[in-house]
Amino acid sequence: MFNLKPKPFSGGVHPKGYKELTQQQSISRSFTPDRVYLGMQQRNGSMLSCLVSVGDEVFKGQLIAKGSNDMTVPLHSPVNGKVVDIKPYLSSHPAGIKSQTLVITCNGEKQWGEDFPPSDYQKLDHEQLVQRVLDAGVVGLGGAGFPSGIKLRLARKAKVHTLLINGGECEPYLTCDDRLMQEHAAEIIAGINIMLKAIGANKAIIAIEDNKPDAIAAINAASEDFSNFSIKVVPSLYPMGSERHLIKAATGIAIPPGQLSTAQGILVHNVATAKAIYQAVRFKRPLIERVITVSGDAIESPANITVPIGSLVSQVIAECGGLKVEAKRMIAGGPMMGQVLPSPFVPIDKSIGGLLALSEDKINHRNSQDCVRCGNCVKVCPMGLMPFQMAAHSNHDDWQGAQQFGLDSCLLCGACSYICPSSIPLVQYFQHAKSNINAQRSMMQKSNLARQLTEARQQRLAKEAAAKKAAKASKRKRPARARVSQGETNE
Amino acid sequence: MSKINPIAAPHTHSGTSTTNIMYLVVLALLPAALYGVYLFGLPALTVLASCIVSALIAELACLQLQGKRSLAALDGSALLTALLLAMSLPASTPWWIASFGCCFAVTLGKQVYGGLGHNPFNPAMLGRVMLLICFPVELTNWQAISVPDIGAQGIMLNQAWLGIDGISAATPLANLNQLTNWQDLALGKHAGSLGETSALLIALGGVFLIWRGIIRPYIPLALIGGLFVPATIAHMLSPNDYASGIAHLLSGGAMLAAFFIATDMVTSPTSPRGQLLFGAGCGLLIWLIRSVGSYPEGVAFAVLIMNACTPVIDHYLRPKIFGAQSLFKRNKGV
Amino acid sequence: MIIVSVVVLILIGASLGALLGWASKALKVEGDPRVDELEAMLPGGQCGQCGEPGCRQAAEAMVDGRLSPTSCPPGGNGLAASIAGLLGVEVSNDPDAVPLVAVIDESNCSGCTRCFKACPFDAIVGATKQMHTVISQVCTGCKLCEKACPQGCLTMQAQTIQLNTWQWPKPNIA
Repeated sequence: MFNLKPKPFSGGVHPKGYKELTQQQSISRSFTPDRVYLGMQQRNGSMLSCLVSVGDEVFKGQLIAKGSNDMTVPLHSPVNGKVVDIKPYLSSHPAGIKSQTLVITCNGEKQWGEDFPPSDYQKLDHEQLVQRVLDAGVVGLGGAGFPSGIKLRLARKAKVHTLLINGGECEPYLTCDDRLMQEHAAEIIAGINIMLKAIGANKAIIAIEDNKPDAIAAINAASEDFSNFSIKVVPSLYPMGSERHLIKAATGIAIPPGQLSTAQGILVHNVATAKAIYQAVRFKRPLIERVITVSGDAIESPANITVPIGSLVSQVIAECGGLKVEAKRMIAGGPMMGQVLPSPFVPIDKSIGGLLALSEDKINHRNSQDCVRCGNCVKVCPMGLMPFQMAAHSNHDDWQGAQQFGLDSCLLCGACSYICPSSIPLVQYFQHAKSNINAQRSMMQKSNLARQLTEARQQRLAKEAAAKKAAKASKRKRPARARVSQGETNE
Repeated sequence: MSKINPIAAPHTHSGTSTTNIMYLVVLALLPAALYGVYLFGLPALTVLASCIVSALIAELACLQLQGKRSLAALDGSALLTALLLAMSLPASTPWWIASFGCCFAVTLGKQVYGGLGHNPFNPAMLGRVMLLICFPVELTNWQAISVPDIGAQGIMLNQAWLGIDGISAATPLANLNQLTNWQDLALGKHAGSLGETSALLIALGGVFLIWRGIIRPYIPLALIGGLFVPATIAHMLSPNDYASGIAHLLSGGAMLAAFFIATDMVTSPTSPRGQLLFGAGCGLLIWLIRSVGSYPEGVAFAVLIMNACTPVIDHYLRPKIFGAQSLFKRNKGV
Repeated sequence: MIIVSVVVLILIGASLGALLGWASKALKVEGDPRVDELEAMLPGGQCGQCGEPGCRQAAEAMVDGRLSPTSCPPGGNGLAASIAGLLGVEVSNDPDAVPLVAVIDESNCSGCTRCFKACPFDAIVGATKQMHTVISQVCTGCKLCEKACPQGCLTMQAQTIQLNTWQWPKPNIA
């Protein structure tokens, strides 16, 4: 257990991979749901405005909803069919919150509604490239779901020189990026070239964990012709897929806390995003489907599968043979950072990269005990924090104390909860603290707004009162004069 | 809707547990404890057994009184406390003194603070210090070793081994100047507490714990350094007044403290820098108490003093946040 | 001699008097400066939900310790935390306190304009004999409009939880 290989960053854990469940199977493309459910609210709370109404026929790739600005990416119909309902429906949020959802039935046809001839990205300038990416509704497929076009635009402004492609995929079970690299290496490389042009960088590094030899070989073969591409094999260590840690492992640069990677001239994108960007620029095809890993010990036949955005989890699982044992928990994403699904009848959104159904045995849930200050969490924290201190402060609602211990730097990677011998739900304490801090911040904004409004109102009322007074004064003068004149006439 | 209480990630666990850790530490301590029994005979066994039994009974009683799950008495923490206390006692300690010390350690050393994880001081050392103050004679009456002869007639157990007629002897710490040679010290062939004599077996147990990732090497290394460096310097300046660094390291409870007592996870700091400071402080204090203080052995006092500093150390000596340039820059805001 | 001493004493008296007079002006303390600071933090809607007639009085009461920092519903937990920080006291937030928002049952609204005249935040829009509506992003849930409505068609409802406003609960630990 004395690992003599130097670790690229301190901390980290080695959870058991279970990647063999799906690693050897090629991506299945046959799945078509009979209806899709598209949420109109994005995770950041912004609402999309719907461009279609119930009863409309829509085609695959048709723009059906758009946001008020570029931060809210547009939504396209993933299938050919008919809008049958617009109603509040469960989202994939762990608390089972409902949001306005568009329901489209699918008529089974698979062709795109509009076919655009392939365009040569070399002839487009960087702003046109970014616009195409934005119009296609591409978001980061690694999980964060940030609009990719915006990311490219900001990177250009920050004069980024290196594009780092994240093929880390450090989460256990997930192999969709691995398979994507093996099967679509050429498209990924083309997507990277497009991104390089869009941001004006000249160097691309593709970082892949050393447990994916086939993907490394495929990417190597596809990128041979490009001298500005390099492949960096990084050790498999969780959380290698975190942006900061991948940068450290691939380039040796540590991004200071509170700073964005672009400030150091590095932009990180996921391999799946690279493929989506290629599709968006080359064929003007919007992001309407993605490859996800459906795995876990409760799934009958685990697989990597292309699913249209908005497919129900239950249908995807049925496509993979259903469940063979009782699934204690269903998870969107990997077991380390994924969110628990409130029900199997929720739609898959753009940022879900995996679907796991785990039995009780694999979850290994135990009741938590008191902290014994063993320091394991400090040892494994990849950000160099003291999770047990942050949790203690969060437990007493002392958000500031938690922030002083570095809560803002916390990635919520879960390494601490994973290792904790007392099984303390550390991550949940941090989620709790973080969401409270966010809520406080928005309350502060709201009360500042309220303050401004009431001050404006008071000024307005004062003005109105002054105007009324003035009007009264002038009115009083006039009747007086009238009376005088009346009196004069009477006399 | 807000009443829904979802479970946060991660949805998997490494499988470690505190019980697991406790029993691994006990396992690492066993060779040295058994060697103590081999050296000192039945009296040592009596001390060990009375400590373990009384600690478990005290733990069970405390858990019952608090209405907690009584099975938690078997989580290994009481057993570990008992083992550590027993190993730091002379083999000739009467059983009732050992039992009393263990009950004190478990109840007033741990459970009154709220149980495992909440005690600010190492319970075993608290018990040890209480016994030393209340029963100074019994606690400094060192039994000479009485190794059974293994000869042609089988194992010959002498009277001392059977505890009938112990011979007392001075521990090397009492007159460190007349030095037993260091091989004897390392192998434990000298008088002393029942589990502290063999530095080699203790160090092996410690290396096992480091290998299994139960403890980190910072505290042992810093403690050894903190004891060895000042002792060596003083020895070089005045060899007649001060014992050598090797003698300090290999005698008394220094090795046991380095690998098992100071590394007690509840009462030691968690960050690498904090652990280095903690270990070095323990080592330095051990040397100071032994050389300058009036007690021949200072391990228990040194560890308890540094235990008191642990919260402060943990508050100020934090690990470096990933990517932070300078430690000073970050600490300013704190 | 006597004249000299008289003059000296008068001079001393006059200069000391001048010093005192200057000091009383220059070093004047107007109440507790924290009251002003606190008043600046409060929403300023003069809604009276805290039991004080207005925000200035509420600030004074909070500084005196007569009023808890959590007694301002429009400010919510965020404001409570920053007030507590300013005054250096501990607060325990009520986890069940849900932010409220005014909702007008538009079918019953007669357009009397009383509610939007009562709203200190201009969060209700409408005109005479016209239907009124609440801008929920601005509404602080101060309940002043509820009291003003003669039709009873304006009710306070708990804000519905959205994807972005949901908060992780604290883990339940046995």
